[in-house]
Amino acid sequence: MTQLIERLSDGLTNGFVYALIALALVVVFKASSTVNFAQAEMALFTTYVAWWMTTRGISIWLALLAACVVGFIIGAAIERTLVRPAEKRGEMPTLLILVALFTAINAIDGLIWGLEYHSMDGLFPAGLDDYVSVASARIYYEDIGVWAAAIIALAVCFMVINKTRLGLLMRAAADNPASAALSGINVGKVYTFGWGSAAVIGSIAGILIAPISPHQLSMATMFPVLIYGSAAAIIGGLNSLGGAVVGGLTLGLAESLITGYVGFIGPQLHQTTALAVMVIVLLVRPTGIFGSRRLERV
Amino acid sequence: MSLLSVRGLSAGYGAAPVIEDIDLDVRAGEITVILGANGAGKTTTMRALSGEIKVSGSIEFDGTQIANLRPDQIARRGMRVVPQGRGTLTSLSVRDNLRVGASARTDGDIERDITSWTDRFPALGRRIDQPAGNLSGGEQQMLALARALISRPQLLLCDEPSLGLAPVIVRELFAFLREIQESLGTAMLLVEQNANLALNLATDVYLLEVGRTVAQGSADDFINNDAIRRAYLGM
Repeated sequence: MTQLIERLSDGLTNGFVYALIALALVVVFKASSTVNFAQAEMALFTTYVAWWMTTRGISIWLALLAACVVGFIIGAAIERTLVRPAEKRGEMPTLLILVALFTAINAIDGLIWGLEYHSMDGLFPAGLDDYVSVASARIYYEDIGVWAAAIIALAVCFMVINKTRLGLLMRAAADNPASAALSGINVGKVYTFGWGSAAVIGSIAGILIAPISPHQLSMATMFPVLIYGSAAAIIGGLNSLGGAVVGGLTLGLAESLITGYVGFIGPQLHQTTALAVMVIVLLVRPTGIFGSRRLERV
Repeated sequence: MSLLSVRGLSAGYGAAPVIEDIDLDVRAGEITVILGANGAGKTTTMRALSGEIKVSGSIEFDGTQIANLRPDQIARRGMRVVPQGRGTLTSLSVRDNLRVGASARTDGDIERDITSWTDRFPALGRRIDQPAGNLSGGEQQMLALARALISRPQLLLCDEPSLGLAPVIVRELFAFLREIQESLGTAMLLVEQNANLALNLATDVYLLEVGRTVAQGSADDFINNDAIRRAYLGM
């Protein structure tokens, strides 16, 4: 029982971070119909920025805010200067540019901040005694903090998208760009904003995961997050915001339970489980669990 | 007075233009129709006017040059299109479709206008919170019209509004267009294959053939001119 609760707690923590990255991927996919392979590396860059600020004595919360601002600018700039021109030449050039960005940003991080591991302050108390006991299992404040932060971030996203004028414009531009433009919406501007917002979500995910990642803050921090996050987005259906969250949490819990209870998988093989789950879901439902084909009637 | 004045308009999709050197006027508050067979360039003309494709020539709308502006810029100036295929935002609710139509408006009456449009089209009112993709073809055409009109445009462009609709719905639709023109004074430019209905609705007519205007005049001229009717309209 104790082990189960601790496993679930671990799984939820990772799951929420995967859900955030998956959500960022879905937001971008809805805007540009492409999977942003560089999403997690963009997040790593802004996480480094936040870490660097904390080493200069700035509070981590202020650093989080700065990372979000930097993230928004980078995301918007990438859409405007790289993705939009590439889109005119088709999906494949766009995809290649994003794969190139993935490696380029990673290398730039290494050049600026070095190859060593940095330990990063978390947003929440992380002492040895900072936990609550539930049926003799320890649930650390760190984990509870990640859940709370992720839930707040997700709630804000869903509210903006479903309840605000800006969200209405985003949904319209994603649904039918040509028709949205004919209704007076500047679709390009909406896409730029979508990319910026996705990078903000990514920045939050990066700053949540870096302090508790086995890789700490290093060039490898975001690799598993990207694998699980993109698997989560695909499982959820790539164009479903709710699906991204369900996919992220499912994978986080599956990863944690499988490594905990299935002996032969252990810590080495666990990333494969994400891919196996993804393959199985896609075999049964090619559009993902919550994904939809376009509904059209004439 | 011309609300829309087009001179020497050419446009196309590749090297060879689909429409060439077209002159066209739409008078304020009047209904103008472009007739023509399949492939005459009617839809291309609409796409050129609404900013969806690059053009050469002059398009003056309400006193300003709008040639080669983006579609959203043209839409915000008061020219709205009901595109062929209706442009329904299928995953959005009927209400959100109407809100999108009104998104360039800054006044506070949008929700009230939505109610008055759904009163006018009860079928839309009954499904106001359902995805618009669930509507039938005729209902989607009504939604497309309401989405364009809720922005209170000066000029409404309709690309083959009768396409794919049952005859009874088409008659309803044309009666509605007449009603809008009379009550709101909205000028309209229609592209239509159904010459009979269109000539009854419009005051001014242009006849397009292989990308060029081959005849123009008042609707009465067209109805009374046997030569034109036989040669071009098959009536």
